Amino acid sequence: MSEAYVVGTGLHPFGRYPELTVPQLARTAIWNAVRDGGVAAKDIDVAYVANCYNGYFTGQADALAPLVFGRAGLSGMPMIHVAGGGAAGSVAVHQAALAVLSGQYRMALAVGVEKVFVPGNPAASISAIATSGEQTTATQLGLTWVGDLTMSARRLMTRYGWTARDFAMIASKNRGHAAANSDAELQSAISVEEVLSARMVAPPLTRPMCSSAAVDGAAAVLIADAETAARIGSGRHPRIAAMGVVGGQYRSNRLPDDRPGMLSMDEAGRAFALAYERAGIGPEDVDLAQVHESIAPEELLAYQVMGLCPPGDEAKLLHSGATTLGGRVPVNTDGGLIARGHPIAASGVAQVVETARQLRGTAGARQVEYQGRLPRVGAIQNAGAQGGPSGGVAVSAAFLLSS
Amino acid sequence: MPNAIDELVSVSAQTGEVTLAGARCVNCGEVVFPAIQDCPLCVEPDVMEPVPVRGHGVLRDYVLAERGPEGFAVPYLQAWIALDDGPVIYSTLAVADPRTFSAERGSPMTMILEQFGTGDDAFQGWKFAADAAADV
Repeated sequence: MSEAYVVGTGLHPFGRYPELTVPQLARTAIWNAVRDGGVAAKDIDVAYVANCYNGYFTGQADALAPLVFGRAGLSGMPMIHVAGGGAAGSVAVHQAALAVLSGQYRMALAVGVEKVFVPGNPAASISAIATSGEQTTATQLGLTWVGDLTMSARRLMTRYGWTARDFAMIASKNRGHAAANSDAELQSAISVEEVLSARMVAPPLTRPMCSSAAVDGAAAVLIADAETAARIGSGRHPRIAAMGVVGGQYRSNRLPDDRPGMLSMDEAGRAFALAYERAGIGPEDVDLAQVHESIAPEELLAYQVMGLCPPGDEAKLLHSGATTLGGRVPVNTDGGLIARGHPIAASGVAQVVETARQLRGTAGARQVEYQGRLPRVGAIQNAGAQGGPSGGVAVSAAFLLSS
Repeated sequence: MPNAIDELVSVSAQTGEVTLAGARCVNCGEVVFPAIQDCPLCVEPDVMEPVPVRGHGVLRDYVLAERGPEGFAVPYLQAWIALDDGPVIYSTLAVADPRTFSAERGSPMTMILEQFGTGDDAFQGWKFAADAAADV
């Protein structure tokens, strides 16, 4: 059975970089990954770039892959552009890993890059990311990601007893984690009370409970087969133990829909069931997780759909401190979407970067330890792009990495 | 400039009621909006026949949006409406004061048409308003 290992990780810091282009952001992440792995860039034999909005902002909708990789000095390998909203980065990682697992490629590069910040015009960023939803019947009539997710969150507050204070605790926790991450968009800690009293975005969510659309950044990973990985560095690299990747499932509108309704999470339970089965492990084996909390309530729901707690115990798990750095299963150790930042197509790749570094023990001030040892299993949840009759996401991804 | 939404809505000259261009599967009876040819439930091709979908339903979820995309005056209300004929659709809510709006899930709502956008980008889109009987 073939195996795939994460042998290099790189980032361009997340934040606001109006002076840089998409290829410029990407090249920093790409070469940081090459240097991190100590690999020869000429050995990369397939390359994927995830990006959603370069076409929207610049008109260069296609040919992005040869531009991004070519301007980073890479050529000769197949260069492939993928999209998929918030899941775009996971799509690139999934394809890169499958390429290696197929046996046809020895080392694959996956980079996610996005440039969405528009100086002085936050509505322009909201309009851009709205193109990852359905235009004719939804986004042109004003549906936004934050609005849609918050509608679900408001319903789940009734179902599970979540409160605005719980959401503030998520935001405060993740901002605290990012205070130890020099690559994060927001590196200042913030108290629960400060989160609660911040300006309202969509009641009951305040600004710090939501990731910002107006962020730029890039993330890259190198994925290699067992033989190649063994020759790189120490030869010990985090392994992609399993990938469970599914899409939104159409359900009859004549039957009650018992799914939680929060777009990013509707299919995550199915994705994780697949991933756990393929890896031969369960949620009790997970030592840390990175989840797609574009708004804070998504992280609470992630605890449930990943199996970290039974339905209704999400807030209890949060209050116990288990998901905070130093707890039993820290979640969003780099700050997550809320604080590390959410440059859409870069996020899914950044989740793999953080998980690999944690498993290697190179996460610095935010290194996770469990009973005096490094974490052994990291879980990643990600999803994105929405539309069509199912109203569901294009891709919901569950990745499990093991040391 | 034509907008794809123009093909999806029609208004009765007599009653003023808005009707949506939906489709029903001849195999399984599932009704979807917007109309398509291939059934997403029984997964068969060319089984959907056009069917009018009434612009009436009940409020499923809503939220006050304090921030929005370009061209949207904030705050405004975003909502999901479960149509009486089955499909669930997104809409903004037409209310006098979004900030003071409050309604129970399941409140009956009726579709109205309003202009969205300006100039060459203007198009006729839908909103939902609470039924007169429920609007006390």
